[in-house]
Amino acid sequence: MLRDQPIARRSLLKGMGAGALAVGAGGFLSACGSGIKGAGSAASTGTITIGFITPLTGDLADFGASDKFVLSTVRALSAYTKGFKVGGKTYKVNIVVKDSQSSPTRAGQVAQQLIQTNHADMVLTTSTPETTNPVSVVCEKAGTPCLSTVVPWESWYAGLGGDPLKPTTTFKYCTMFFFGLTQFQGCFVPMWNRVKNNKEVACMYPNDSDGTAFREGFEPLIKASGYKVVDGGAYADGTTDYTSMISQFKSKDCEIYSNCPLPPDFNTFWKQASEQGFKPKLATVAKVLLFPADVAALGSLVDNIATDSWWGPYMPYNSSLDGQSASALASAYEAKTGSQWTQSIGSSYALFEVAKAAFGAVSDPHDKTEVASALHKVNYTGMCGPINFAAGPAPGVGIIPPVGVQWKASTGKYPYVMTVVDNSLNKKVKVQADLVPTNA
Amino acid sequence: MNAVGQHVPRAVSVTGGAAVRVTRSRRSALWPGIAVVAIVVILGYLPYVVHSGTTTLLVQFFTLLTMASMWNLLAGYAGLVSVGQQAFIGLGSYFVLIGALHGLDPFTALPVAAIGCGVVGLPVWWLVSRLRSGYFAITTWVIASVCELIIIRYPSLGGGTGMLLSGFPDISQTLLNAYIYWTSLAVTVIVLAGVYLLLRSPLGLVLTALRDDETGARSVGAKVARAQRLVFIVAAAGCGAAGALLIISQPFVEPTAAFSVQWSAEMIFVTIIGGIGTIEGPILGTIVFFILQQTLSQDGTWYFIILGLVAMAVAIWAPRGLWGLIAERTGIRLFPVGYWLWPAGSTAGPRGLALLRGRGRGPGRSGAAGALALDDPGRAGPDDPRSGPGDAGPDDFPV
Repeated sequence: MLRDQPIARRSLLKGMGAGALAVGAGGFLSACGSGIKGAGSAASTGTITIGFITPLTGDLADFGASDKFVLSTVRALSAYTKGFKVGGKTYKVNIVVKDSQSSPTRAGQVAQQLIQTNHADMVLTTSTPETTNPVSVVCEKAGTPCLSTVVPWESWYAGLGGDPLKPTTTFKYCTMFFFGLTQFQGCFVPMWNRVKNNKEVACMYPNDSDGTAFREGFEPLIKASGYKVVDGGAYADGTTDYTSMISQFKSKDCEIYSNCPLPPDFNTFWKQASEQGFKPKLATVAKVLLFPADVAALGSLVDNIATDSWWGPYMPYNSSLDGQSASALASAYEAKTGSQWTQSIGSSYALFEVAKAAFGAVSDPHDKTEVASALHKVNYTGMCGPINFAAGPAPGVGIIPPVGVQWKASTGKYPYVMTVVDNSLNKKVKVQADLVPTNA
Repeated sequence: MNAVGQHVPRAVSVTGGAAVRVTRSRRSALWPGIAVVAIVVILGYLPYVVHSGTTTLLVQFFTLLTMASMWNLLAGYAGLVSVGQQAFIGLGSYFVLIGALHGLDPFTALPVAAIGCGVVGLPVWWLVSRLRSGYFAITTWVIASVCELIIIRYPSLGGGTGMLLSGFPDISQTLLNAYIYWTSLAVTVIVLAGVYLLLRSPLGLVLTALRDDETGARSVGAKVARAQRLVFIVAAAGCGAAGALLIISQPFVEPTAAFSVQWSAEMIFVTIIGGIGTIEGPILGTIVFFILQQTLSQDGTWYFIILGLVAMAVAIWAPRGLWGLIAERTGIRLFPVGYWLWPAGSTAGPRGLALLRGRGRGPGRSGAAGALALDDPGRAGPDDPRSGPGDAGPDDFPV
């Protein structure tokens, strides 16, 4: 017949032989690890390579939407075209951009590529823990200086294995600048206090990095501010039915609303809340409605929703690279792209300012330990105002204080405009309009 | 080793006594076989030759190839179109994490995680085994989501935040990278060799019959349910190994990423592009995917549009994938799992094979299509040693 035993036995032996050879070869090789080539290095080259990882596509694409503009702006500045002067030698600067595709896995993979293939001397990354945390983990493990932004520092710190409640661990290679829960408190609570309410706060915190940080870190701060917490439960990202959470908020008659969801989840929640009659007097949202694109999707439902703003044309700051003002940078963005300015412009721009400041303070830009230690010591003033990495709440964390803003309907070019209504944390920023209850 | 794919001519009497000769592939698979072994050996030596940038990329390549080969086994052979294999990828990652939290070295935890996923695969199979096509696909996806929801309930595993994997042996980063690379290579070789052996075994006959026509396979008495169960468990273990590779190479796990349906999308894309229902297909598909990713992923949205267009083009003009095109034109089989029948009288050896290339000369159909059609379903019934007495006998051999 077609099948007889010798064939089966022979093919089995053949296949097993192939497998054993391969595995055996691996085992044999691993016994003599000394000849392994490793990553190689760029030690002798006259080029400084800066990697930049940002979500250009996927769910977080709104965060990265302005990064192409920032890159073309920075690349055209003489500070970057003329190269960096480090230790008496001028180095050309090469910025390599990688798209995280909004995936933590992909973010980690491109970070490995930047370090091992592009020999990046420093990796910059931005936009939510889903991007910054895997990148920082890879950089810390590989010993490459890394700077993150647009992530609450507690989420970032916990993601690297630190304890935000006892922030004593220093990550040798990783730093970040942004703000954290204390700043959310300092930004939101004064606004709550200005609207007459029953002090019941509806809290919609998901079961993810930011949600956990808010649940563990922000709820105690809410209570410490004299408010009561009504926690809607640790729902999973992507939940599509919030009826039970909404009825819980309604039954407690919550008049303040706080959250930190993914943007699409907030859209779903807010529409259902509106349909089911949950109308808090003041909604102060985090992580959502940061960008004009989110606002367009909700239309008139965003009227007078308050959020935090870490950057905008109202910031009284100038570039440390060429002196351009924040408002001029925002206008340049609108002129070049035809889209409304977004907060990410300022934070991404500042990444490249800090990178230059750190490289300016070392003698060898390819000495990763030296660059990392310089990053931890950066203390400068630029597009996002003064940042001091040595004076933050945790080692390697710089704080930029946000201001309270509301989305207000406008008769101008764009239907809704982010307008400063509270400057409790940063008195240098001028208040532009009165705080108006979200639902009167 | 040079016996791989050697011709096994023998005379068989079928249908009215016409004698045919049987070989494992149309051309001698000796040289492709040697090439495969040589490639594996060269890959094993790579850490001594190239920088870790390349080997790290290859780790990603091997991880995806492992997943795709498992999906190909499920969907391409057993007819189980799952979009929930990310359940086992995520569980594989988390099993390694759990092992590491209990003091197990991540590399030792990898096989444990793979076996663990195979064990979990069995009760999952009981849940989904009676479902077909769309219902099966959706249910597997639901199960993956359930696994994710269960995992994020455990703050000790990082909850929704995710967790760092620690507990690596105290060796240099360079050596660690090389270990990770060798581990991923070993996993891939074991998975591919496993699939190859599985398909050449009696069970492979059932699977190839299943691939071509499930009803037909059942009607000739093939033990379809048992084959599908085994394949499901093997695929669960294989995807678990791939998930373990993921967390070891990252070294970070985050539940939404680990259980992301994106994995299924990538497995399906790679398999469809390369050629579903062939061992070579996922390999070629993964190569194409990586070339596209490395050259185009900086173009943002355009990258995804191009991926979509490639998938559509292949689906329309090359429904059997790129490997299907190659195999059809050349008759090459890197992993010969079928049989070729030759009319009696044609002399042994590859030279005689040219006789059969022309249209209409082959038994039944022409070219490779003829080979695929005849090697598989024709063998399912009569040659399965477990077939019952009611099975089709040699007289029904449809050549």
